[in-house]
Amino acid sequence: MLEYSTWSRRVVDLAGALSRLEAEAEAAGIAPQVTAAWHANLHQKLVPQAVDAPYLIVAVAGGANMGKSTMFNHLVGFPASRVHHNAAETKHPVCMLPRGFTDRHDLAKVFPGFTLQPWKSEDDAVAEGHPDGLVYREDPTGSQPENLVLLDTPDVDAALPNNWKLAEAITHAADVLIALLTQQKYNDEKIRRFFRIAAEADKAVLAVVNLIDWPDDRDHCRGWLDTFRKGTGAEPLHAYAVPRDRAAVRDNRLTFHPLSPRATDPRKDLAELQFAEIKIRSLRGSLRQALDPDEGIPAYLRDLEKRADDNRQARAVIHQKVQVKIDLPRPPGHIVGDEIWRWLEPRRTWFDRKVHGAYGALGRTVAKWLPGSVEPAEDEARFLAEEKTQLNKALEAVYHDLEQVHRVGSPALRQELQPLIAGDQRRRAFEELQRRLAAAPLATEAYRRAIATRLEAFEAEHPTMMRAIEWGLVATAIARPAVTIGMFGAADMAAGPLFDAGGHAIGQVFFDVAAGSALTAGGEGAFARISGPARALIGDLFAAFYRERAELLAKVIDDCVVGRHLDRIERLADLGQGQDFQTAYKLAAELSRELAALDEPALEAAAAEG
Amino acid sequence: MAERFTKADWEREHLLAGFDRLHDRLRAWAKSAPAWPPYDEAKGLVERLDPRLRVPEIDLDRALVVGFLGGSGTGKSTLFNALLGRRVSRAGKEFRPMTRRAVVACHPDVDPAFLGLDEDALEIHRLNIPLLEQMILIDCPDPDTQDPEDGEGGGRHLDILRSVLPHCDVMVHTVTSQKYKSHVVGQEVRRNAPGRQILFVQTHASIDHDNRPDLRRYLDTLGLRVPEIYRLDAAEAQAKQDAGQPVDAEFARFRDLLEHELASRARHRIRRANLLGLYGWLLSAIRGPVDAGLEAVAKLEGALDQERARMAAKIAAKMSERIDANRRLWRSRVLRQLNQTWGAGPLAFLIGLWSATGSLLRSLILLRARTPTQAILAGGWTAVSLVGEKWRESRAAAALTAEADLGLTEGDLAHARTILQGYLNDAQIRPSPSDDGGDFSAEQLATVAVEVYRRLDAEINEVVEKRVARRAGRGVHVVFEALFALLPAWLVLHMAKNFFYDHMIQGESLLGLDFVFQAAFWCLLWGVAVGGLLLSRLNRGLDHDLKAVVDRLAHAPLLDALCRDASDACLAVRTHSEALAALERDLADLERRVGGVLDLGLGALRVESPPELAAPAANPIPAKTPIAAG
Ligand SMILES: Nc1nc2c(ncn2[C@@H]2O[C@H](COP(=O)(O)OP(=O)(O)OP(=O)(O)O)[C@@H](O)[C@H]2O)c(=O)[nH]1
Ligand SMILES: Nc1nc2c(ncn2[C@@H]2O[C@H](COP(=O)(O)OP(=O)(O)OP(=O)(O)O)[C@@H](O)[C@H]2O)c(=O)[nH]1
Ligand SMILES: [Mg+2]
Ligand SMILES: [Mg+2]
Repeated sequence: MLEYSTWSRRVVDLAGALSRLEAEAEAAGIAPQVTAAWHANLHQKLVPQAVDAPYLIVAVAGGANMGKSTMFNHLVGFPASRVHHNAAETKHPVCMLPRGFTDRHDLAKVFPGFTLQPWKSEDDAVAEGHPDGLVYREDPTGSQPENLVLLDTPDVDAALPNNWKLAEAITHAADVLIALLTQQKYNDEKIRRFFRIAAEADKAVLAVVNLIDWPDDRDHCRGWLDTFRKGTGAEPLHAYAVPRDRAAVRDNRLTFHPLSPRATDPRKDLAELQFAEIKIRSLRGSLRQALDPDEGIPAYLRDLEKRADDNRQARAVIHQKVQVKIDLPRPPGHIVGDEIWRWLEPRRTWFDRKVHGAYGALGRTVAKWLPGSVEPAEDEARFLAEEKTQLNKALEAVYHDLEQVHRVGSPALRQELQPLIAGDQRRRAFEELQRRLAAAPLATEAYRRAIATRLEAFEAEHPTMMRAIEWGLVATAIARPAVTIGMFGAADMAAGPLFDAGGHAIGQVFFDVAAGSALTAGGEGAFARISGPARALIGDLFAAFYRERAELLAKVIDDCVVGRHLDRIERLADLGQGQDFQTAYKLAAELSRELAALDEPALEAAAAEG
Repeated sequence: MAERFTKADWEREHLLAGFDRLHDRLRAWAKSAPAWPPYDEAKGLVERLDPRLRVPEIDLDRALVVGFLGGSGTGKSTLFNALLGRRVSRAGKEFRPMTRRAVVACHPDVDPAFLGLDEDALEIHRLNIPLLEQMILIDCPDPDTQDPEDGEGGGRHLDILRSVLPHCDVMVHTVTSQKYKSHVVGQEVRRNAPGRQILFVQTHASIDHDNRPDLRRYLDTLGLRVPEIYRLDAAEAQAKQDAGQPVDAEFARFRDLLEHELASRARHRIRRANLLGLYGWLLSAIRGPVDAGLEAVAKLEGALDQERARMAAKIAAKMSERIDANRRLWRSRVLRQLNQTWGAGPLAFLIGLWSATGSLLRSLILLRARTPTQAILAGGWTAVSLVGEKWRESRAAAALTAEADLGLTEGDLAHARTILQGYLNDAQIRPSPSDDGGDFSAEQLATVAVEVYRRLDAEINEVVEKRVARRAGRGVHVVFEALFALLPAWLVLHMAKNFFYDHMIQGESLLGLDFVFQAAFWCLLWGVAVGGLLLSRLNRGLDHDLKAVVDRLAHAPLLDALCRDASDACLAVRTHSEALAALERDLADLERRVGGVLDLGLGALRVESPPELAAPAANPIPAKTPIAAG
């Protein structure tokens, strides 16, 4: 026998890890499998009952209008659940607890997921109420055995799916089922499937064949029970026949004709059940079902792993495909030049200032008359207009790439990308880009600081070359670095100087400053002679400027185009590697192995017998 | 013996023609549908249902097929036997399910081969009883005991049921207290409801509670119309028949309905109602996705309008900026126009001179004119066409002029293009690109721009012409010429007086050359003053008018050509949806003529069925047999 205490601990751990995993998965867009059998087995039965549960849960179950409530009322001895001639009337489980049960146990832990409502009247069960409502009452008669919890359940086959859901949840928690059967429904597919699942979870079953013509149907009953056994795999501990008798229903005094050798009356038989044996069998059955390789926890974990793989692939595809090179226009030269002057200003001697002031003025005057030179304001306007065009085109390219990825992507990825490339979303992104462009100044405070830092470093390294700079040689030199914006720069981040656009590890803008080749100058001859380090310096200063401009687009891409969604892809991709996944995987594997080892001797014994 | 063509015959033919027409139109509609997913779906649906939609006359005339549908043990076989008055199909409590094949009861004269069912799927009983003269009864297996996933152990009786039901004109749906709300049965009824009538029967009346009010509510949620539910006890009726006693009133009523009303009198009506019901279901099944899709199309159209408006606003702003910046150009154009209208006259001559100098200047400007707007303002279309040819030649040039002149950059185009693409995706519309490079392409913009310039030129011309005609017409010309002539006339008079009177008679000296020069100078000054007055009169408010022209142009449908492909595709989709509405009207018309079957107590699918339920269930059916709707 599986050692109670050793595995109850692990079951609780497993449930905890799975809950966290499910929460992570849900945050990433995978709905939790709350309706799955393993989920109910784990959370409705194993966790609440694994530690210590000295009681048996007995549930009356079956299809609509088969007399479940009638049967339940008989068991508890008074009309506790409304009997109604319309089908699917019972909409909430009704739970009758033995005296003092609530003092010894926390009901919310016994029935997790249910909204507990104290019993007020017989009509509670048929009232429209909370979809997860469960009505409970402590047995007022005091005759209920103290280790039995009795439940009436909604139907499993009529038109209200919520009823099935509640009935299934209760059944998963139960140890003993009282299976209601009738001539019309005993072999219905829905009913059969319901009890087959219960039988697979090793629950004890008592069969009650209701609404029969006694004694005419006595012989039929055995045949029906045989069909039931074959169809469901259940071996009822006891079986009874209950005649169709209106008066008996009215007086809550049903007649039970035993159909199995040791059966007497269900109330008496229930009180004499082999408590420990049934409890352990049902717990083990639940564990087996929860760990079912095809439908249980292993399947769920496999599914998550597959999703993670899919998303890792998606991530790779997006990374490869979505990349735009931006061809930003020639910058307004004075932007950098002015900043350099500004930096130099307080550092110069009186003489320098005089001389260079004159040179500076001269330089500016000369620059004005150089062919092709323009006013700073005009130059800025030109830059802004061209830049806007380029950034708009870059955004178009991003969308184009995303669409390509969407077209060839896996269904999961397609679904993920669908909202990204919808018209409304695109409009928002473009509007945001225009808005930010309009609001952004050409030279920001951050840019000034970057320039100052770089110049100071340069001064420390090449004190002699500062002269050339002070002489304003660089004032009209211009560098144009190439800018590429791409997603998921993880690999590239390692490879090159990268710039992180946001808090996420996505929407990377990476830079490639082709300083040498892209360096152009306003007044060719003089500036072509700029030496290596100064050239690099200028390249860097312009790169810093371009970085700020490209950052604008990168932020828009991050905030409005893909950010949140790629975040989800990222999270899904990492799901299979998390701690909780590993824990759940390990525990599930361990428990499965131990269960298999336990089942083996039993199987061998069965084989030997057979 | 010559048969007479009665009024009834005529009406019948007329009705059949109506059916044929509806069928043809539906086919034509499906065939000509533009490529769009909801229409593709519709095409598939029409294709699949076609064999059932095209019902030959003979089919409308054959025996009525009545099938039994209900959960196992609800008493289908018992009711079937009770109606026939003998035990034909095995009924009983021993097994559930009991009936595992379709049991067909028909008249010896009727050949049930048209059902096209498998030999081993059915069991045929030929009975020579009046009930079966116009009717075929089929006792079917139940839908609720077979696991749809394991067809093996439970046999194939669910498949048999599903292959039989499509042939039924009327379904008898049997329920009991225990099974009336059964989910699987409800779904089966629902999927087989399109195109057939349903009779609802609660059996086991002697032992079960009456659940009809609740049943009615439930059927209503399934989207079924339920005029009547029969409640009877077939087992009792059978026992009474065996004992030779009269049957229960309700049972007798039910049997009479089947035998006398449905099978003989109302047979045609039912068939036609079924057919109409099928059409109605089909059209609403088509309508649902189309309407849902049209919402996205409407959004697309809205986006198109918005993008166009954005561009129009930019164009208008840029052009009025140009008008402000090129005052001299359009003024000289007015001058030229004035010159042309006036012809001869001293002032006209003077203005002509003025204009000629202007022309010289203008041609100089034109040489430098960088943009079409400038050219138009200055010199009209001929000048522009030259430039226009150039844009069309090169994409880059086109983009450049568009940018310079319409205020639209490649960036604006990229912006519009990308948004448009998003909405196109949403609406699932793929416009076929025309030869002008596609929507919001630079080429398309250039084409539109040329058109805009052409119109701009024409409109400016009109404004100038009108203005000159109104403010400087013949009368004004005469007045101004006279005004201008006033000074020279006085000077001539003065000189004449000086010569003839002062000089000849009084002997004073002649006016010298001085005077002549002065006179000429004053004449010129006078001419300039008069001309200036005239021109200021002409030019006042002209910029306002020109801006109005620009504004009008920006809002003219001219810009509609900007994303013609997409709007054409939207329009095609809309037009086709309107054609669908016309079909719906045709159907309603036909329905009115056929009349309903409500008076017979037959239930059926409500026409306004909830769309999410109207999805057709997949039903693999062997070729050649009529195809089921559900
Ligand atoms: N004659 C007779 N009627 C019964 C018997 N058991 C149940 N009924 C009737 O069957 C109907 C339904 O009984 P319920 O006990 O409410 O059935 P249920 O299975 O709880 O039904 P829902 O909760 O509505 O799904 C009522 O009209 C009862 O009177 C019986 O032994 N004899
Ligand atoms: N009292 C009563 N019993 C009925 C009535 N209809 C059927 N039964 C009984 O219900 C049982 C099942 O009836 P069937 O006719 O075999 O049911 P079915 O719908 O054909 O069932 P399947 O063939 O399994 O689909 C039989 O024993 C009938 O006597 C009825 O109207 N009243
Ligand atoms: Mg109940
Ligand atoms: Mg039968």
